[in-house]
Amino acid sequence: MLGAASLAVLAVFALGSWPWRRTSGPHASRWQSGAVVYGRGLLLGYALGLVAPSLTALAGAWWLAVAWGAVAVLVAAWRTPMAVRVRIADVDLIGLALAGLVLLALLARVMDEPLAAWDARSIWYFHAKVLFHADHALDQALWTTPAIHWSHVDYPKLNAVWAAVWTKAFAGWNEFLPKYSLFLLEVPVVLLCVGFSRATVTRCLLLAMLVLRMDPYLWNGYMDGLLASYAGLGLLYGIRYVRDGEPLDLMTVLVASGICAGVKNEGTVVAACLLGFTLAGRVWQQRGGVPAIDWRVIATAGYALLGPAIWSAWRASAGVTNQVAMSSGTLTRVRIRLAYGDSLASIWKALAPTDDLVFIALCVLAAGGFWALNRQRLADHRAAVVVGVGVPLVYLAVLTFVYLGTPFDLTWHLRTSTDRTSLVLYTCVATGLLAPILASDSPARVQAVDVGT
Amino acid sequence: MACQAILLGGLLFLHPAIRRGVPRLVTAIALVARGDVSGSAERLSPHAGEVALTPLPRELVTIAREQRLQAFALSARLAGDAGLLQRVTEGAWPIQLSAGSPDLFVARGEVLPPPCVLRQTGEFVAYARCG
Repeated sequence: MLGAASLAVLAVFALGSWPWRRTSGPHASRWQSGAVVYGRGLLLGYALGLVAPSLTALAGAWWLAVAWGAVAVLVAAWRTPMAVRVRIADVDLIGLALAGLVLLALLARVMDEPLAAWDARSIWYFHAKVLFHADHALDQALWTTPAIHWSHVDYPKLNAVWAAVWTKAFAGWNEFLPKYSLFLLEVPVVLLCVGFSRATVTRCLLLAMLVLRMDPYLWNGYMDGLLASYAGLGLLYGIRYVRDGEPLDLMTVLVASGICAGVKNEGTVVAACLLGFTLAGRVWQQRGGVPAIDWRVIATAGYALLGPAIWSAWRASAGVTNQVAMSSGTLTRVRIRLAYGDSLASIWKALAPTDDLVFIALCVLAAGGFWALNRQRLADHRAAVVVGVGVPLVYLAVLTFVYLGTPFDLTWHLRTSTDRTSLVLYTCVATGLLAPILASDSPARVQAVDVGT
Repeated sequence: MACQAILLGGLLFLHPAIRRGVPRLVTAIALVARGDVSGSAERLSPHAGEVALTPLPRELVTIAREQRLQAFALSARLAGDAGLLQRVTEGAWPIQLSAGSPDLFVARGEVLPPPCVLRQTGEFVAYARCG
């Protein structure tokens, strides 16, 4: 099990490593590069899993990916001068310790319990089980089976594909093994938290905000913890991209957006907000100049958008629809709920922070205090601050609209979902407020040096 | 940096999810560190962990597998429970729930419709072949 688990992580790295250039630079950027390569691997694996005629064959192809990755690493090491290759002082021991400890805790927690949570069984891992037994994904007869119409079959399949492909390596489906896909999807979260800064306090703060705070949604089989973590990370790195224009930060936003769109339907909204605000913010920061986009960014955009695009296009062509999707009745329901009753107040009351109240208050105080004391720096960070505030506001507006237009009983819909939708919202609020401050003392500049693949 | 330290302290000591989750994470690490991975071999076997299903769907799924069914139907009484319907459907997959199947599950004690013949009785459900 441990051998297969390690090889799976290596296979994801190998999948994402082409085409790529190793970069030399601050410790932090190496963590970030690793996370981007790994995230690209997850997203490419998603796209391949959707179109592959056999998931069993795809699981076999993992080993080829591992072999390819091993060759690429050896070639890169061969081309790297010895003086660059062996520099013990470069080893980021604190980062290694932090990342190792958190990853170990996540793995232990994920694999500790069988699948028991309602949505995990009824939606996310049920879809994986369907894929595991069908051995392929894009099958209209499969997803329109009347007996499973309650399972929100239109939902994105990033987790389901990885769970099904991973479980193919073993004797059969059970309630423990598929959960390893959660760990596979969580690896970049930890790498990106550690990779944002070299300051230990900042790393711990990000790990607390984006990993520990998600209890239990990063290990019970729900996708909301993953969505919130990647939304927060996308915003964090997006804001630094707005300020510095470093392509690696834009690639990080692309990977985070791709994963958001791959885990949940509302992730598509998050991804659109992240990408739209980040690019517009950068244009504003450059006073109308077009951001520099290199071939690595274009390749990463391809990796990030391929899987979600394939699933969305197939879903539309196959008539696999969503229960709360926009229809002619949606606007009527929105109008009626706005005109009569206290629906809007109910929605905002349900979305108000409870667990997060103290933390959000601290974030508002910290951001307000920082900019009050550093008013002269605000002019340089205006675009970053607007992006930080704009993304959560637009997401709140979309959430409000979706709740106003819900075809279900509003009270029931709010009661059964706001604890999770507000997780994403308040993660964006917190990172949006803090990111301009955190970015002001984190290294972003990376000198790209072509040293290999 | 001081501001970040205050925020970190606020999160770690005041946020309910962190106060709830961190001890569990620490316990999980301690178990792994002690090498206490008892039962890990069983976790690799097919169907391991189905204890997470409640007893009725678990029994139904077990009977459906023992009888090597391709599909099955539920009595109106069982099918009327939306929660049970979901657990049975996902638990039994790839054995599919199909209203037209001649293999019928009823709640124990429920009267079988003619011409169904009782094949197996469990603690909570009974399996009958109809036609």
